[in-house]
Amino acid sequence: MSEQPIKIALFGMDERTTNWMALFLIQATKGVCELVPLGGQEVTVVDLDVANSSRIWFDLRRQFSGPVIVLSLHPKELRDAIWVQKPIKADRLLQVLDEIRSMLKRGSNRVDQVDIPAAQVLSSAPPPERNRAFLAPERIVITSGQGDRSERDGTASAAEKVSKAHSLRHEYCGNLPDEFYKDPLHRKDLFFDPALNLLGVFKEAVQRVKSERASMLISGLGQPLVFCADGERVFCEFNLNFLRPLAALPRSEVSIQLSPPYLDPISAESPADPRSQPLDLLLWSLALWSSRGRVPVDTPLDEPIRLKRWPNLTRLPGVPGAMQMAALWYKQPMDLLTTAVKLKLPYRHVFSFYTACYALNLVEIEQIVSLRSAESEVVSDSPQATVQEKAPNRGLFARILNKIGLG
Amino acid sequence: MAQHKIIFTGPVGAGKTTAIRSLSDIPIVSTDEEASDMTANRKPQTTVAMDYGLLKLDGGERIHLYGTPGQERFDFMWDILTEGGIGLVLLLDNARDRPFQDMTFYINAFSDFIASTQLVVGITRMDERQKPSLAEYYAHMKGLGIKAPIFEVDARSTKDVSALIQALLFSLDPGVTS
Repeated sequence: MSEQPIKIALFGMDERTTNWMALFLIQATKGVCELVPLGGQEVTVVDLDVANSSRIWFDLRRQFSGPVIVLSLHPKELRDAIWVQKPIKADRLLQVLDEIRSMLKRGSNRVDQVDIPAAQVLSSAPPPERNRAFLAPERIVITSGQGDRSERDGTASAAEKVSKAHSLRHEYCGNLPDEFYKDPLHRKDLFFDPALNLLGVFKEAVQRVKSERASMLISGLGQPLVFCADGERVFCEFNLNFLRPLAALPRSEVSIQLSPPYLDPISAESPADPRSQPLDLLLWSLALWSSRGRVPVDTPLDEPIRLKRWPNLTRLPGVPGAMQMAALWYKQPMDLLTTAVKLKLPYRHVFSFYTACYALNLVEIEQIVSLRSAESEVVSDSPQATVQEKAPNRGLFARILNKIGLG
Repeated sequence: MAQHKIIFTGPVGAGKTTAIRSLSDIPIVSTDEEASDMTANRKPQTTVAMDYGLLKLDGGERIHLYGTPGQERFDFMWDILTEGGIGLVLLLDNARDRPFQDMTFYINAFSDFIASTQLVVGITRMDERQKPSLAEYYAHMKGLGIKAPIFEVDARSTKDVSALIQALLFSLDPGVTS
């Protein structure tokens, strides 16, 4: 039986190199692979013998978490990457593609570990946590990079594929397939421990600001990050996106320290200062980068989630389906797995949204609410809030949503 | 052809006219006049009857967007205006002196309509004044026995106003998909 060509995208190459590589891949691999626009690929090929190669690599990893073939004259120590030495030889490339095909097969429905000879796979960092898509010293863990068909229409240009929507789905929600969430054997892969990464440090900082009613300084990030005493803003010299790659690292690998600042930054109290950012924005973003489709350890998957109040979705990075989930959990608590089924959303979007709400302390487990107090009972729920199979105005509402370009 | 409407309300200067303009497919029909009373302190013109905008849907359906006049002396019109409405968008100006009082007034004034439909709240001018916070608005609203989404919005932003409408519709039916 003939196999489907591996979908390959080229990244960070000028037009001439792109044309040359496209020709080489088509002729040398004889149908083993096919070129697709960025966003629809299973494997990315990148040339790192160029100026700003570290920037190109960084940009690529922001957009794509699957396997990468790195072309270079000299060995490159990069995570989840297979180095192919220049000048490229067709045999060598075919061998690498064959190995990747095996990985994709084994990882098509799950993240799997595949042994790769050490000479081909070079790791720069130990695994931040088990069962995740990061290299171990002698092993590689590769995700399939397969998303929903709706996420991989393959028709948009590369520029469009580097769009916000793409980022939202993959950078914030990861790429765990729905099968993971249904299979009890993969249950452990659906959780992460915030206490072991940057999110845990930041949550600790928030707690200390609250309890000590004083600013807290996080040092070790290159530039200082101050949690302001008002408990609502942070003060930092860098763009918050700088924290994205750090969010996935274990706390032990980021030498950061939490302490009272030597000097309270005057500007920290001024929201007009561009270095002053809402604390909610920081925690929300970091939670999404940390989550990637997972929830904090000990989150019950089969107990109803109640949203205490809506996140400020006009000012926070969105998660696909966030409005629907917020509307549901605010009025009709529902467990995570059922939410995905009822709202027809990918599980990873539901899990990511929960984690972001958790970071802002916006969610609670319904069981706890009912035991704690009956105060919420004074607030009447609208009878229209339930997920009805055939709500009367659903067609009209859908047409309005289409009209206003959301939904 | 079915006709539907969404109502925008809130105090003078909260951004109702601007919000409708952000969404409407037609130039909005406004009944602004030179303000001659204390309203003039907030903006030179004010809506004395109502604003009107329109969303044209595929298939010829129309969603009428009505903005109530901001001045309380026109509240006799509100019952007529809300009849058959899908829901209520309440815009509150955070830079006003007593935004909680405004919230209480409008929620009470439209209580029957809210009970039978859905409310969504947009807070404007939070960039000028950060307090009260959204959390404080939620706490106040809870005291009034109402649950509704509250967002920080810029009435000039189509994206923000659209988000309000989206939250309104999903609150009525979380299962709706576009």
